[in-house]
Amino acid sequence: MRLIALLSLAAVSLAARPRYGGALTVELRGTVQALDPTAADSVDAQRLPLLLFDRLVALDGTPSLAVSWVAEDNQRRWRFRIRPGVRLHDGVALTPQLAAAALQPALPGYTVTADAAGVVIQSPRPAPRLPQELSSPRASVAVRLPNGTLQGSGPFRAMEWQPGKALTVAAFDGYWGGRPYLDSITMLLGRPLRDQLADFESGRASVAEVTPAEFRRQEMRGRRTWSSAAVDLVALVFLRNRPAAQDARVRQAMSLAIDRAPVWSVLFQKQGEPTGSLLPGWLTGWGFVFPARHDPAKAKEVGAGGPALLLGHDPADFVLKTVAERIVLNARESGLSVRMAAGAESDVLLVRVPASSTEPGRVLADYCRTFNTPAPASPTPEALYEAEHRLLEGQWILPLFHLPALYAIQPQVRNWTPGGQLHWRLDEVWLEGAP
Amino acid sequence: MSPFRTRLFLLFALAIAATSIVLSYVISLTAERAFERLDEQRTRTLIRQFQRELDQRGREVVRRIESIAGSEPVRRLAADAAQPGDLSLYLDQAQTLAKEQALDFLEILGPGGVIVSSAHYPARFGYKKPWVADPSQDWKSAGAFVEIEELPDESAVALLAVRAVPAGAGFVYLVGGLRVDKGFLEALALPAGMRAALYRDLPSIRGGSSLEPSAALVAEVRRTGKEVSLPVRPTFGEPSTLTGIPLSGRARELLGVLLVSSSREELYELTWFIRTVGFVGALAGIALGAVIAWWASARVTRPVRELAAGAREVAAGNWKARVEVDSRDEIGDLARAFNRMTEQLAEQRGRLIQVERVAAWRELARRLAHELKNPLFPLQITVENLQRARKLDAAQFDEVFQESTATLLAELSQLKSILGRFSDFARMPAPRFEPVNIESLLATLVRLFEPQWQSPGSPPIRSVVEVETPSLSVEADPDQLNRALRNLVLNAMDAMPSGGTITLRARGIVAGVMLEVSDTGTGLTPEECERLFTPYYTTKTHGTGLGLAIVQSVVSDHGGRISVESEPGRGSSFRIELPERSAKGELNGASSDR
Repeated sequence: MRLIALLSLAAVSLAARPRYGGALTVELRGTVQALDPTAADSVDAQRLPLLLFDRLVALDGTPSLAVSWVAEDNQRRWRFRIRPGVRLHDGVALTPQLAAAALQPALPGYTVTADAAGVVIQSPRPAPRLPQELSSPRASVAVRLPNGTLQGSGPFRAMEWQPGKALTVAAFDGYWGGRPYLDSITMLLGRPLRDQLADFESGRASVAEVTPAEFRRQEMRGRRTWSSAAVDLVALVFLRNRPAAQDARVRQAMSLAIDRAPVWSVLFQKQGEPTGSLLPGWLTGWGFVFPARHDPAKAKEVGAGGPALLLGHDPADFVLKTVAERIVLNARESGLSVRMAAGAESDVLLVRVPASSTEPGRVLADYCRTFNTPAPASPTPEALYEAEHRLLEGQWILPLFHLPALYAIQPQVRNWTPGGQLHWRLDEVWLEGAP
Repeated sequence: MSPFRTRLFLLFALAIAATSIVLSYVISLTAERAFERLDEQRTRTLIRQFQRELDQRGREVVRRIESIAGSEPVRRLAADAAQPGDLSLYLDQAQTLAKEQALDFLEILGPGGVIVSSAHYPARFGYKKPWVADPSQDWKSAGAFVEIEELPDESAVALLAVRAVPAGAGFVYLVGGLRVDKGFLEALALPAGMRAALYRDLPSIRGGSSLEPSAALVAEVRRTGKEVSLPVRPTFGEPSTLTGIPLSGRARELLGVLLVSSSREELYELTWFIRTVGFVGALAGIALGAVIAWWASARVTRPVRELAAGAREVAAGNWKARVEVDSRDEIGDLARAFNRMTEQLAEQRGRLIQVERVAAWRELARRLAHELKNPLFPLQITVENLQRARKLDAAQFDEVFQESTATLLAELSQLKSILGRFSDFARMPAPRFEPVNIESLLATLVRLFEPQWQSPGSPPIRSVVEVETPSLSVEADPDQLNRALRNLVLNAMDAMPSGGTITLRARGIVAGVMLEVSDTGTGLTPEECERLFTPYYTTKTHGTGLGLAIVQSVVSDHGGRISVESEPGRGSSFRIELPERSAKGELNGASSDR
C-alpha cells in the first residue's frame, strides 16, 4: 500500500510539473492589421504586442524591463532603472537610449530621455499613475529599426505575420525572464464565433472566444473558462444624418421600448450587466445616474406617429443579430415601426464597442473616438462624468449592456494566468502532454 | 353592273360569307367549350395534387416533430422543465433540431406555451403562444395544419404540427413544420401552361374593380370564402384563367389563397385560326360570288338585257326591233314571244294606221263636205235665183243680180276662209323660242278679249288672272303660245253661252311652268274628254274642230303636255305644262322624246 501511495504521489507530481514544448492556438474575433502597440485600440489588438514586446512595468504592476523606479519633483519626473542584460530578438542589447526612443511615441505629453542607468520620464504636471500607464500594452518598448520594422524583447518573437489573419510566434530562447514553456503560439484573427466553437470542439483551437450560452455550457461541462472585465459596450447609435433618426420622440420611445432584462438573462446568460450608462457602473460608481427604464406604454405614447426606423447591425455577429431582432420585437410591441436593414440603409445601428482598458478615462476616450466626439479634458471623475453626460444627451446613443469577452480553454492548457482584467500571460502557460 | 347582276353577286357572296361566319362561330364555340372543360379538369387535378402534396408533407412534418419529441435533447429539456429553473441554455436548441430534421420552422415551448427556443425567430424567446398550451387541444394524434408564422422581417404560410412532451406536471411543446411557399409549389408537377402561386398578404387586399385581376380574385375569395375563377386578358402577357382556392388554417380562418393560372393562349390561337379561316372563306365566297354572278349574268341577264333593249326600241318607235336569243329555256321562250309580239304589233299598227287614215280621210271628207256644203247651198240658191231673174225686167233683174252677186261673193269668201284655215293647220311653223313673261302674256290675252266680254248684248264674262310670281317666265314662241291660249279662251267662251268666269292661272312646277285656263261652262263628258284632241272633232255645231288640235300641236312642238279636267255642268280646266328650256331652246332635265 505504501508503495502504491508513493507511486501515485509521484504520478501526480509529474503531471503537475510544467513541460516545455507544444504549440498553442488561440482564436480571436478581432481583426488586427498592425503589430505596432501604439496603434492597438482594442483588447485583441493589444494581445499580439504583449507576446512580442515588454513594458517597463508588468501588467500586474510588478517590475518588468524596469527593475525599479523612483518619482521625483512631486511625481513630475520618474526615473526607471532598466534591467541589465536584456536583449532584443535580433540579439542587440536593450540600452536606455533604445528604450527611451521606443517609449516616446507611446507617451504623448511626456518627455522621455535616457541616462546612464535608465529612462527618465518628465511630465509637466504630477503623474502619480505613470507606472500603471506604463503597464499598458500601448506602452510596450518596441524598438523601431531603420528599416521600419519593430523589434521587441518579449517572450516570443514573430515568425509569420499575416495582417488581419494570423500571427505565429516562437519562444524567444534569450528572454530575460527565461524561455517560455510553449514552443510556439498561433493567433488566428477575425474568426467568427461559430468557427471558433467548431475549432474548439474539434481540438484545433486551444483557446476560443465563445458566446455567453456556450460559455455557460462549457462551465457546466467542467471545462475551463475565462471572462474579461465587462467593459465592452453594446449600444444603439442613431445616425445623425438620417432623417428618421432626427426625431427625438422616436429616440426616446426606443429607449423606453427596449426590455434589457430578458436579453441579459437569456441571450447573455447574465454575463456583464444591463446598463444605461456608457461607462460600466462597476468601474465608475455612477452608472445608476443613467437608468435603463423599460416602459412600453410610455414608449407607445411618445412614439405614436413617429417615422419608421431601419435597424442595422454587424451581420457577422449573430448574437447581436438576435439582440437586434429582439429590439425590433420590443419596438413593435410599443407600436413603433422598426425593421431590420442592411448597414448602409440604417437609421440606427446596434454596435458592440470594445474597450481596450479598464481605466475609466481610457475607456471613455475609446468611446469618444468611436463616436467621434471630443475626449474628456482630464481623467478626473468630474470631467469623465461630464463627458459621459454629454455623450448621452439627446439619446443619440442608447447604452444597452456592458459585456465581458468570454473564452473557453482546452483542459490540456495549464497554468492559465490572467494579466489584469483583460489580458493573459501566455508566457506562463504550458501544455499538458506536450512532447 | 346591272342591278340584277349586283343582286346576284350580293346573294352569292352573302350566302357563302354567312356560311363561313356561322361555321367559324360554331367551331370556335365548340373549341372554347372543350377547352373550358379541359382547363377545369386540369385545375381540378392541380388542386387535388396540391391537397395530396399538403397531406403528404403534413404527415412528414408530423413524423419529424415526433422524431424530435423523442430525441435526447428534448427529453433532457423536458426533464429540466419539470424542475423550477432556467431553460435559457436551450435557446439555440430549436435551431439545432430544426437543422437535423430539415424543418423550416421549429419552436420549443415550455409549460404555459412560453417560447424557450425558436429556430426561425430566435429573438422571440419568452413570448407566449397560448393556443398551443390550450388544455382543450389534444396534440397526441393531431395532424398538420396551415398557420401563419411570424418571422423577423415578414410572415410566412407554414404547414405545422404540434406535439406535447410530458414535463413533470406540465408539458413541453414542439411546434414545427415546413414553409408553404414558392419552393413548395415548385414540387407540384404543373402541366404545361399552368402556374401556381400563393397569395398571403390578405390584410392589404380590399375589394374593388380597380384592382389588378389577381388582387381582385383574392378579394373575392376572401369575401366569399370559396373557390373563384376569373378569365384574365392582360394588356401585356398571355390570356389565362385565374382560379383562387382558399387556404384555411386551424380554425378554418382564411390564411392565404392558392392562385392557379391556366393559360388560354392555345385557345385564343385556335380561335384566331378558326376565325381567320372563316374570314378567308368569306373573302373566297365573295370572290366566288363575283365569278358566279358574272357567269350567271352571261347566261341569264344578257338575254334579259337584250329584251329590255328591244322593248326600249319598240317604245322608241322601232317596230322592227328583234331579240337574238339562242337559249331554249324560259328566257329563250320569252325572247321568242317578244319577237312574235313586236311582229304582231307592227302588223296591227300598220292596219290601225290604214284604218285611221281611212277614218281621217272620211272625217276630213265629211268635214269638208259639211263645211263646203253650207256655202254651196246658198250659192246654188243664188244661182237658181239669178236664172229665174232673167225673166224679170231689167230693173228687177239688176236688183236681184246685185243681191245675188253679193251673196255669191260672201259665200265664196266663206269658202276661201275655210280653205285658209285648213291650209294654216297644214302649214304650222316650227316655234321660235324666246323668254316669255307669263304675266305679260296673260295680260295681253285678257286685253284682247275684254272689249268683247264687256260689250252690251254679249253674255257677261268675268276674267280672273292668277300668276304665282310676276317674274314667272318660260322659253317659248310667244305668238304660238298666244294662239294656243286664245283658242282655249274661245273654247271657254263657247262653253259659257250664258256667261261665267274665265280663270287664267300660271305657276312654276318642277322644271317648267304650268298654265291653266278654266271656265265655269257646261263641261264635258269623259268620252268627250278622250276624243277632244282628235283633229276635226268638235262638240260645237259650228267650227272646223281644229282649235284644240292646233293647241295640242303648239304644246307638242314646245315639248309640253296638255290635259283636261272637266265635269258636266261644272266647267272645264285645260292645263298646259311647258318644260324649262336652255337659252338654245333645248329641254332641261327631260328627254327630248317626251
